[in-house]
Amino acid sequence: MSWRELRNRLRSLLRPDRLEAELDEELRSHLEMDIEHRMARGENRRQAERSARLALGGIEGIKEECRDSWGARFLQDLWRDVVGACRRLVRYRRYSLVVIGSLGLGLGAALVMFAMVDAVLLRPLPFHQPDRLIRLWETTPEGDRFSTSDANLADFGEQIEGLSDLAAVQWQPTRPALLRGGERIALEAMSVGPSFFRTLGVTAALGRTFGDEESRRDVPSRSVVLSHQAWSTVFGAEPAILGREIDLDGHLWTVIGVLPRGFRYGAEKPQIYLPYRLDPLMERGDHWLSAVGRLAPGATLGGTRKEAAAIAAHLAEQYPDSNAGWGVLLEPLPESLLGPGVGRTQGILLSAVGLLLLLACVNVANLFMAQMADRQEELRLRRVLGSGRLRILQQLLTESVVLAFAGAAAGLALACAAVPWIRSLDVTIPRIDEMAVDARVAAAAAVLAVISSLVVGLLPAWAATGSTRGAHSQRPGQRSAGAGRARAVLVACEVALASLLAMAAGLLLRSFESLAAVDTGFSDHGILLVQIDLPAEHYPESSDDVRRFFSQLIERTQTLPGVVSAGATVTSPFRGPRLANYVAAEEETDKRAFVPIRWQAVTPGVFRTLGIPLLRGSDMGSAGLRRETVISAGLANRLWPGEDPIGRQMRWIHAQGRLFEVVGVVGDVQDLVLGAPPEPTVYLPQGIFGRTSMTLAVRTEVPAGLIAPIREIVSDLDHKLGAPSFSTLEEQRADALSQPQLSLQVMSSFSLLALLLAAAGVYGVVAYSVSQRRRDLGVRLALGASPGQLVRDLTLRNLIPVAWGLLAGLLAALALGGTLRSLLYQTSPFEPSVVLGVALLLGLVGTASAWLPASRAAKLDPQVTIREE
Amino acid sequence: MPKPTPAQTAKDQPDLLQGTLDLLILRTLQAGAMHGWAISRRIQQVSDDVLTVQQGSLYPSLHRLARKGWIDSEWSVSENNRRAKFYHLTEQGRRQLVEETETWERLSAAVSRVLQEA
Repeated sequence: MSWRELRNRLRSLLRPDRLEAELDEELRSHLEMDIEHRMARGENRRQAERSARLALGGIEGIKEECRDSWGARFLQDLWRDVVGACRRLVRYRRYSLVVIGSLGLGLGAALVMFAMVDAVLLRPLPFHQPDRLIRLWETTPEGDRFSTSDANLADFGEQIEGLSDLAAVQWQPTRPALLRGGERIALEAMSVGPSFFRTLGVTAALGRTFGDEESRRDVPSRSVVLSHQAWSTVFGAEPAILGREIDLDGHLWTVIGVLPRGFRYGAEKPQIYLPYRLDPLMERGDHWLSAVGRLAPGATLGGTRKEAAAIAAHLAEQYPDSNAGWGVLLEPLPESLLGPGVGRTQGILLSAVGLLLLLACVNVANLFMAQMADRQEELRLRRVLGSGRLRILQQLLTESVVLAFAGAAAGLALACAAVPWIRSLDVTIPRIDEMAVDARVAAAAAVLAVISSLVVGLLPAWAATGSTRGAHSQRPGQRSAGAGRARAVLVACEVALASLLAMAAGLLLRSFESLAAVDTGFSDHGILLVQIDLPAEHYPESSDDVRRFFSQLIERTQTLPGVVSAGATVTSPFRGPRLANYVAAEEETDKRAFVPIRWQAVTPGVFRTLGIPLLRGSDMGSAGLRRETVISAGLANRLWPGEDPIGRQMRWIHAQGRLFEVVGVVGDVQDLVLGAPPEPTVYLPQGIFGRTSMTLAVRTEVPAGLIAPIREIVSDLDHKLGAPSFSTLEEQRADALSQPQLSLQVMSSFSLLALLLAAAGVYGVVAYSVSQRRRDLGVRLALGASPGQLVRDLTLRNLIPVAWGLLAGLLAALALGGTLRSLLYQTSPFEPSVVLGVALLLGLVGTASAWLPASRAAKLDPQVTIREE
Repeated sequence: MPKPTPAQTAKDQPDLLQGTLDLLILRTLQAGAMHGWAISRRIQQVSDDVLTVQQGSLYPSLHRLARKGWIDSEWSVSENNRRAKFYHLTEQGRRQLVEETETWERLSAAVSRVLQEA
C-alpha cells in the first residue's frame, strides 16, 4: 500500500462526511456540464436534464460503488447500521419489547438447560485425566453388575497390568460420631483405599492425602482427611487443623489433610474420608466394595478389559465356591458416576429447549416479516435508487443481530435468576450443584444469539429484498401473496413445535401421576422415621449391647401415647442402604441356582408398622435370635414355585452358607426406587445381625408430637448419643420423586412458554392481516356484510395453518414418542388422553388468539377505513 | 446484483471491460489534468464514438484509481467557470500506464494473430 493510498484510506475513515460532500459536488458538476453540453447541441433544458440523468444512471448506485473503493467501507456501514438499528428499536418500542421478550425467554430457557447439562454432563470431572479413570465391578453369574470383595479386589489390583492404580471405595457413607466438648456430631464418612486420591490425581488443599503410611499393613492407620466443607463448617476453617487428634466413635484419629473445595466423588457428599485397607482374609464371596482405577500409560480400555476378564476366569477356577460364574466389568468413570438415565433425561430436556428456542426464533421471524411488509416501500425505494441487495441485507441482518443480542442479554439475566433457584431445589442429580452462569454459559449465549439472529433475520430479509419489479404496481402496505404464504407456514411451524412440547409435557405429567400414585406395597401415612447410629466403639456390631439398645428403644417407644406400633429396619425407605446378597433353597446344590436378592435386618413389628401385608405364616419371634426369615412373595415364588414355603430352609450366600427357616411371606414392596419392579427381598432378624445403624419406624397419628419423647428415650438409654434425625415416610417418598419432578417441571414450563409464544405468533399474524385489510373489510361492511360473519371468516381462514401445524406436531410427536419412553412410567408415548388433550388445548389457544384480533375487524367504521388511503 | 444501466447503449457499442476503462482513463489523463465529464467526452471523441464510457462506471473507476494512488485529484475551475474535480496522473500512474499499455498491446496483437491465422 502506497503512502497516497494509505492517506486516502485514512481520510475516508476519519472524514467520511467530507468525502461524501465532495462526491456529491463532483456528480452534480458532472450533470451540469452534461446538461450544458446537450443544450449547446440544441436540446431544450428539460430534455437535456432528463437525458443527462439517464446517461449518468442511478446516482445512489454510483455513490455506493465509489464508497466501496474508499475502503474501510464495511466498518462504516456496520457502525451506521448498528446506530440505525438501535434507533429503530427505540422508535418501535412495543415491537422491540415483544421481540426481545420472546428471544429472551427462549434463550434464557436454553441457557439454563445448557448450564445444567454443562455442569452434569459436559464439564470434565475435576480429576487428573478423568477419561483414563475406570470403575471396577464384578458381574454375577446372571450378568448383573455387582460390588467386589476384599480378596478379589486385592487380586485384581495385583494382577491387572493395564491398571496403574486400583483403590477400594466403600460406597455407602457410614456415619461415625465426632465427639467434641461432650457433644456428638454424626459425620458422613467414606472409607477409601490409601491410593484413592493418588488414583484420581487429587492433591490436598492443606496437608496431604493418604499415602504410604496408610498402606502399611503392620500398624492400623488412624489418619483422616477432611472435606473442605467439613473443615470450614465443623472445624471453623482453622488453619492449625493438621495434626490435630479428633475423637471419632471413641478412637483418636489424626487429621492429615483437607481436600480442595468442591472435591467430590459421585453423588454422595462425605465430610470425612477414612483409610480402608483390604482384608484378604475376609470371605471372598462377601461383595461389598466399589473400586476406582486408572489405566496404566499406554494401556487401552479394551485391552485392559480382556486382561481383567482372563484374570476373573482364572479366579473362578481357583476359587469355584465363591467365584464360579463371576466376571469383571471395567466401566469408564465419567459414565459410571453419572448413573443410568441422567444423560438421557438431560438429552431430552436439551432437545426440548432447542425446540422452544426454535419456536421463539420462528415467532420473531414472523414479527420480522410483518415489519418487512411495512417497510416494503422503503426497501423498494432504496433498491430503485440503486442500493445493492447485499448492502440492504447487511443492514437488515444488523438489525436482527442487535435484537438477538438484546434478547440474549435478557436471556442471560433470566438464567442468572433461575440457576440459583434450581440449585436450591436440592435435586438428586450428580454435580447439579456445580451449575453456574459462567463464561461458558455467556459464550453459549453469544453463539445462540448469532445463530438465532441468522435464523430470524435471513429469511425475511431475503424475501423482503427480492425483486424490484412491480415497484409501481403495488400500493404501500399491500402484502404480496408470497409473504402471506410464508407467514402461514411460520404459524404452522410454531403450532407444530408448541404441540410437540405440550405432548412431551403431557406425557411426563401422566407418567409422574402414575409414579406418584404407585402402590409401593406399604402404607406411607402417619409413619415417623428415626435414624439411629450407634457409635461402634461402645456398641460392637452384633453385640448384646446393640440388641438390648434397640429392643429397649422399641419397647419404650411402643408405650408412648399415640403410638400404634414400632419396629426397626436397617434400610430406610427410599434412602437405603440397599444391601444385596444371594440365597437359594436348601435342596439346591447347583451354585448357579443362587438368586440375587435384597436383604434387610429387621425387628419384629416392622411389617405391621409399615403396613406390609403378611400373606402367609407369621412374623419373626420377638427375640429375633432364631435362624428364621420372612421373605417377599416374589422370592417365595422363585425359590419354591407352587409350593408352600413356610417351614422350608433357605441357604444364605453360598453352598456352605447358613440356613434360615422361612416363617412368613410378605407382600412385595418398592421401597428404594419408585417405579422399579419390586426386588426379591429377604428379611432377617436384627437379633442375629445386630446392625448398629437402624431406622426406627413408628406408626402413629401424631408424628410431630413424638419427636421430643423419642429423643428423650434415646438420651435416656445412652446419654452420650447424639440427637437422632427425624423424618416422615411421606417426606422420604417425595424425595424419591424429585428427579422425575424436575423433568416434569422443566418440561411443563417449556411447554407453557411454547404455548404463549405460539399464541402470540397466531395473534400477531391475524392482527397484522386485519390491519392490512382494513380498507377491504370496510368495503365489505359497507356493502352489508354482517360483522359477525366477517369475524368468523377471518378467524376460520387463519385457523387453517393452525390446524396444519397441529397435525404436523402430533405426527412428529408420534414419530418421536419412542425417545421419551425411557422417561415414562406406565405411560404409553401415544397415550390417547394426552394426544386429545393437546389437540384440544392448542385448538382452543389457536382459536382464541385468532378470534381476538379478528373481532377488532367488526368494530371498524367503514366510513373511516375506506377514506383512509 | 442488478447494476443501474444507462438508458441508451447502442448495440454496436461494445461494453468496456473494467480493466480497459482504467487503461483508457490513464491514457487520456496523459494529456493533462481533466475532470470526469471531459474524460468521458474525450474517450468518446478520440474513439470516433465507438467507445461510450458508461458514466455510471466512470466515477467508481476514478475513485478506485485514486485509491490505488495512480491518479490524484484537486478542485479547480473549468473552462466554463464551473468548479470541478480535476484528475491528473501521478508518477506511479505513469509507470502503471506504460506497463498496462504494453500488456494491452501484447494481448491485442495476440488476439489479432489468432483471428487472422486460425
